[in-house]
Amino acid sequence: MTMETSMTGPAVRLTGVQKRFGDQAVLHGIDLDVAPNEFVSLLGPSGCGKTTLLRIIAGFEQVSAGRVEVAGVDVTGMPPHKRPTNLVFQRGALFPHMTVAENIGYSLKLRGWPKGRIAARVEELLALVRLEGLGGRGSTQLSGGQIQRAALARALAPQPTVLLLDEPLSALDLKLRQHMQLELRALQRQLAATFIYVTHDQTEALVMSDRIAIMDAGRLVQVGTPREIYTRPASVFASDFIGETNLVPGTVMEVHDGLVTLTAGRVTRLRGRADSPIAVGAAATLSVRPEAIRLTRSDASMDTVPPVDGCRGQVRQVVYLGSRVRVEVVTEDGITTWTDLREDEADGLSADDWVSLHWNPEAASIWAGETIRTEA
Amino acid sequence: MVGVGRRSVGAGHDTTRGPGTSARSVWAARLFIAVVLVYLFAPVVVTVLFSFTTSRRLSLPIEGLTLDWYREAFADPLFTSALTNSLVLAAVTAVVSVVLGVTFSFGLARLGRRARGPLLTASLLPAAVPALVMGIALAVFFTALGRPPGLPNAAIGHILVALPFVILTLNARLETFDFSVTEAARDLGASPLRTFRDITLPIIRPSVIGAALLAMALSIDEFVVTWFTVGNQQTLPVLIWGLLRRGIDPTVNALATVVLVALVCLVVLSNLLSRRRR
Amino acid sequence: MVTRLPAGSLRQLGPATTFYAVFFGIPLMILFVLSFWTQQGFERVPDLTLRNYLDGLTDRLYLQVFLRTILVGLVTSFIVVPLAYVMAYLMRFTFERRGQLLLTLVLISLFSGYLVRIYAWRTILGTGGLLNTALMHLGLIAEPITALIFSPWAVMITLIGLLLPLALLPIWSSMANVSRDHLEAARDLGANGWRLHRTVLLPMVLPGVSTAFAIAFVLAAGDFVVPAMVGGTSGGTLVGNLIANQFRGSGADWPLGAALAFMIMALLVFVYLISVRLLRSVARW
Repeated sequence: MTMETSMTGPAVRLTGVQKRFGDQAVLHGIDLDVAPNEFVSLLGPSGCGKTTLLRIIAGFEQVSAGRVEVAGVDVTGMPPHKRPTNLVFQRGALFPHMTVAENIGYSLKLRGWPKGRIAARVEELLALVRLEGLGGRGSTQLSGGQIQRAALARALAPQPTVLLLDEPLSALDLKLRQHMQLELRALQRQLAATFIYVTHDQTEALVMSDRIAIMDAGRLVQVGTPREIYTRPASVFASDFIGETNLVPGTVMEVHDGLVTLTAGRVTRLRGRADSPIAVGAAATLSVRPEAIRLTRSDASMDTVPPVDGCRGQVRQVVYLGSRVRVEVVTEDGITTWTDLREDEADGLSADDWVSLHWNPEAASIWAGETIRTEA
Repeated sequence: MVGVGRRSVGAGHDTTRGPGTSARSVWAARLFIAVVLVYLFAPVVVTVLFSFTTSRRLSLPIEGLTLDWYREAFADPLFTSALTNSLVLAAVTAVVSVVLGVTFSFGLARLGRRARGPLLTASLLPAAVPALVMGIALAVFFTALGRPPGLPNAAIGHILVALPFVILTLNARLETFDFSVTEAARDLGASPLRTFRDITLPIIRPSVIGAALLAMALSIDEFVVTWFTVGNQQTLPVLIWGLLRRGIDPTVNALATVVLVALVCLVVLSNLLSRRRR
Repeated sequence: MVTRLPAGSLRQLGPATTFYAVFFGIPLMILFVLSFWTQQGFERVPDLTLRNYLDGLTDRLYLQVFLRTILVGLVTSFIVVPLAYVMAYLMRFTFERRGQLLLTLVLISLFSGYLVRIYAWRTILGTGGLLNTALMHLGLIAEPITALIFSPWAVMITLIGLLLPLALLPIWSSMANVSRDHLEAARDLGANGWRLHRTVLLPMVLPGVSTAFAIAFVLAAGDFVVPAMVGGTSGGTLVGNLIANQFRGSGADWPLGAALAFMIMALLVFVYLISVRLLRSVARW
């Protein structure tokens, strides 16, 4: 088995995958293709079914309906030890009674490799995950990061067609996690391997993935590149889950060529792009990223005409965040918004100052419906 | 563990002690523990002591020391057959109860909390029924089957006595067992059987051996169920019982000391192994 | 949600469950059926009569023995359980650093031989036994105290020694889940001494205490070796001896023995339930 497979079709194809535990449906028909050499993240809040989906691909859970194909082969009913997939577990799941080298070589031993060849391959893998010289260690003598490196090497040893990763970095502290994200990404490129990565951390998904599949309540909400998902989220949920955003409910006043104008409150007029059809008079929600908003100082007088694209309000607080400054503005209609500015842009801005908010309508998204997710 | 070695410096009082502890109550507590320990160990000390004394009567003062009673006991063919039978029963009990107990505990571990509790309780039921009742029930059962009393019947009884404790021990171990390592093995290409051999068993081995030793100890010490099922065969407790019925005989002390030493070794070992985790 | 057992789990639960069913469930059921049969000479005749139960309930001797059994069981467990509670408390909180050592000692005593310990108590308590000869040697008594052995007291003294380690283990393990902080918080709120135990610790370890009580009571009232060895023929006989006599020895009457066994078990369960209810009402704020 080699990595440079001559696959023409997808590495993994999920067709109508459903899963029920008892009478509780966990997955409602998932369709997803993962291309060879692609890094795909399954991203969603806890309980959305992402781990179940990964375990279905690995073979630890059986589908209630649907099909799982790996490299063109239907593996739907196949037990995990016969599948060409390998899994990196959340806490590593290293065998506690074996050394690091024995852990990594275990799958090769099962395949009947001679000792010398196993040893050579283990050394190669130890070097790959930068654990040179630690092969003789017991798994209890490793740090959190080392455990995950060893687990990664162990899962890569049998050269799986697809590597599955179940939140492998979630137990690490932030600095190490950020470092490992980049390393993992580089490794995937270097091996030209197919990775499916489960995470609830949107930053992690943005940093590493070729494509992100956002899941919510057992459904795929949106599948796309990090850029697509960040700039053109397909739903309120997607926009709120990925990155930070301002969500404003309103009523559709005018639709012109996909550009929608909302009214919110007494005087506020907001503009943005709607990718799905939307009717005049309907309730709708606008999402605009904090960094897409521009602030200009305006006079305190109420008699000046409100800006066409955006609204006017009063600064409530200015928060210093190091690389940028976050400004909280309450509009005339009482809507709270957050704006991110460079430090020099926010120079001299202070509480109670009057400002106008503007943004490029193309950078704001509008969907029908008022549903606003409150933060958990 | 909470608060081991935690001291409030200069306060002149040991915070690892319980709430409201004064010097006098510590002494009272020590006295209490000493009295309880004397109460628990007086019979043990008496048995061992009088297995070495020359007098036929078990009374004070002690006249002299001897090993005669051991010589006499070991020379008795009844003793050797009782010893052999006890060891065979202990081995069979350990193997069967551990095999049954391990599989059962794994079955339990797979269940949800709601199903596990009642099943665990049910599996401990034989330990809650008086041994006498189990003994007569088995005697009646084997008679109904037309099986004459003997060692195989006693072995069944011993397994029944030991199994709840084996399950209790292994269940406690499996509650802290990380099942993702078995999934990892499956994922890497090991069949279920291979996973058990390579991964699961080596990890839980100390607890399994601990449970086996406990089962052996229970078997060697078992008298009541044995008495109703073993017929004319001898085991160590049955032999001791028979000698006791005949009146005071210091060889009993020698026999009892042999049993005692075996049991204490088994239990101390078992306890050490069961407590070792990971 | 429907709880369904996974197939693999059923396969694993199967062997032990089958073993229990065949060698525990069925024998008890046969014993139960047998208790409605009659014994005629050496023959056991299939029947469906309550005579064995009625015999047990009407015979004065049997009633006396039943009553004595319950009394011995209750007195023993009401001594054993508090002793075990205090011991466990001291091991857990007062001498925490020696706790493991003490626990090992308790385990050793538990496994120092069931028959051996009973026999040892006979040599200690007997008329020519250690206690009497020692006391006479010291000049404290002129004649041996014969009441020490072959009495309900001897039975209880022996049973307490046998059961104390068994009662201690469940209480100890439930106390292991109580942290010192709980007790200190309670003391901080003004609970001390008896109140601390009754309102804080006892309610927290109640499951362990109930288990300890059940073990002590059932084993004390269900034992037949102790009364046979140190109880004597008249004053110390318990139901266990009556039952055992129906199964081994001359004049065996299995159906009667079976009926007596189920009567004492029913009685044990009944008395246990009442006692636990009493215990619960004590352990309250």
